[in-house]
Amino acid sequence: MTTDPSYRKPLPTITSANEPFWTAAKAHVLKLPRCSECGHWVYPIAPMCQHCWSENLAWQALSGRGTISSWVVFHRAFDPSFAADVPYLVVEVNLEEGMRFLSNIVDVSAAEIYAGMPVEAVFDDVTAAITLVKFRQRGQSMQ
Amino acid sequence: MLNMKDKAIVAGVGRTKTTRDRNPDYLLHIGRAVKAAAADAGIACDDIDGVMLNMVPPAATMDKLPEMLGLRNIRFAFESWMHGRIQPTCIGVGAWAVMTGQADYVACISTGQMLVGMQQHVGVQDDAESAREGGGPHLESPPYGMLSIGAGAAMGMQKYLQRYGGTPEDLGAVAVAQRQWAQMQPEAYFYGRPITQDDYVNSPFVVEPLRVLDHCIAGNAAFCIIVTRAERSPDLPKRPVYISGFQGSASGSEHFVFSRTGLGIAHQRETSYQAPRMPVYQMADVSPADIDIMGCLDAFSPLVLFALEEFGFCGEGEALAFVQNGRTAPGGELPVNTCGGGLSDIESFGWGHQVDMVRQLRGEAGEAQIVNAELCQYVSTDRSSVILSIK
Repeated sequence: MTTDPSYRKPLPTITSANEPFWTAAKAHVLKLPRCSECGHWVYPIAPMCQHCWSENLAWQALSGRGTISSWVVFHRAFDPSFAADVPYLVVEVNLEEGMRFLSNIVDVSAAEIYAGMPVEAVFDDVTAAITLVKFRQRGQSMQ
Repeated sequence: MLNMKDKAIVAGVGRTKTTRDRNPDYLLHIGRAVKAAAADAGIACDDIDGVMLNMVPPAATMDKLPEMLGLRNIRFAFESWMHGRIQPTCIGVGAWAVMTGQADYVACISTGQMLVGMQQHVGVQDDAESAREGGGPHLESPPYGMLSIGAGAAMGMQKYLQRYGGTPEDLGAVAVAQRQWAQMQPEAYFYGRPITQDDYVNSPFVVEPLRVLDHCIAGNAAFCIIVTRAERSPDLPKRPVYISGFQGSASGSEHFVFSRTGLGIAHQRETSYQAPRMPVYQMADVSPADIDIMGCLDAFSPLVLFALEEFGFCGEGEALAFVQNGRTAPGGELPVNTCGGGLSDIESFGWGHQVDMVRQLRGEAGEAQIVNAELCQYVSTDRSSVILSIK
C-alpha cells in the first residue's frame, strides 16, 4: 500500500494523548499505552490506568493479531470520499491482548467474513504523515 | 433512601405535530407544546416556576427560552444535552425539584430538531468526539469510514445475529409493529403510510444489517411534560399520572449506548447476561411482567431488542424471537412504542414516548388506546427509565 497524493478521506485528529499511537503506526507497529504498575493495557487511550489509576504508563507494541468480533457493511457513503468504496466493511477486532479495535479489513469481502476469523494488522500509508492500522485475514498464504 | 414513588405527578402534557420542513420555527413548536401542556394541567403561564430543558445545542437556552416564552417566575432552571438516555433524568430531576420545594410546576421541555441540529454536530467528520481512538459515542471513527450514527447499532445487531442466530429480515418485526401503531396516531410523521414485512425486506440496506426502515425519522416537533407534587392532584382538571419509578443512565465501558450489557460491542466485555433487579422496579415495586405498555428509545430498531433483554422483559438472546408475530404490535401482549416511536413518529429521544404514555394512562390515546393500561415504562438500552402509573 503506497501513499496516494489524492487521498481525501477523513484523517485522524492527532493530539498529545494519541500522538505516540500514530507515530508507531507510521513505523508499522501497533502500540498502546500499558500500565507499568499493574500491566493493564490502557485502551481507549487515556492518561491514567483504567484498572489501578496509576499514571505510570509506557507505550508497548502489541502482537497485531486478533479475531473478527463483528462487522458492518456500508452501502452508502456518508462522506463523498468513500463513494468509490461502497459497499465496504468496517470491523471490530478482538485483539489478543484483550481490547477491541475498530478498523477496516482488506482483501476480504462481506460474503467471506465470519465471526472469529483470524486477522493480523497491516499498515496503510494513506498520506506522507498518516498510516492507518487495518487488518487482513491471517493464516492465508501471502502472495 | 429518599423514596420518590408516587410523590410527584405529571400534571399536563403537550406536543406539536411532526413536520419535516427544513427551516422550522423551533420556538413556535416549543411555545405551542408548553401552551398545550399548561392548558392540559389547568395552569397559567405564571404558575410555571421551573424549567428542565433537553435540547440539542446550540438551541434556545435556559436563559433565553423562558424570556422569549414569557415565563416570568422561573426559580429553578436546568438544561441538559438532548438524548434518550438523559430524558428520564429530566423527569427524575423535575420530580426531585417539586418534591423539595425548588419549584411547584416544572415544565420539562424538548424539541426534536434533528434535521438541522444533530446532523451538524454528531457522527460527522468534524465532530471531535468521533475522532477519538476507540470510537466516538456511537462508535464513529471517520478515518475507517464509520461515519453514520446508526452504524454502531448495526455493529451491535450483527454481533447479536452472530451470537444468538436469526436473520436481518427478522428485525422487520420491530419496524412493522411500530408503523402499525403510527396508523392510529394522527400526530405521527408516518400516519397514513403503513408498511408490510415485504416493504421492510425491499427497503435498501444503509449500514448492513440495518435497512432504511430501521432508522428513526429526523424531524421537527416539541414536547412538554409538566411535573408537580402529588398533593396538588385535587387542583388538577385531569387524573394525575404518578411518577412511580425512575433510574438514571448507566455509564462506563460495559454500557455502550447501542448494545445490551455483555453483548460485546465497543469496549464491553462479551459475557452472558441476566437482568438484575433494577432500582426503577424496586422504587415502583413492580416487575417487567407487570408493565402494560413499554416505551423504548428506538433511534434504530435493534435498540428495542437490546432494551427488552437489558431490562428483563425476556432472556438473553430471546428478544428477536420475542418481537415476532405481532407481540409488540396492536393486539399483542406487550405493546411497544404505541406512539409509533422514533421509527414512525419522530426521533424525540423519549419525549414523544412519554407524552404518549401519559395519554394512554388517562385513556386519551384514541384508536391506539390500550384498555385499562395502568403501568407504562420508558426504557433505554443504557438503563435509564421512568415508570408512570395511574391509580
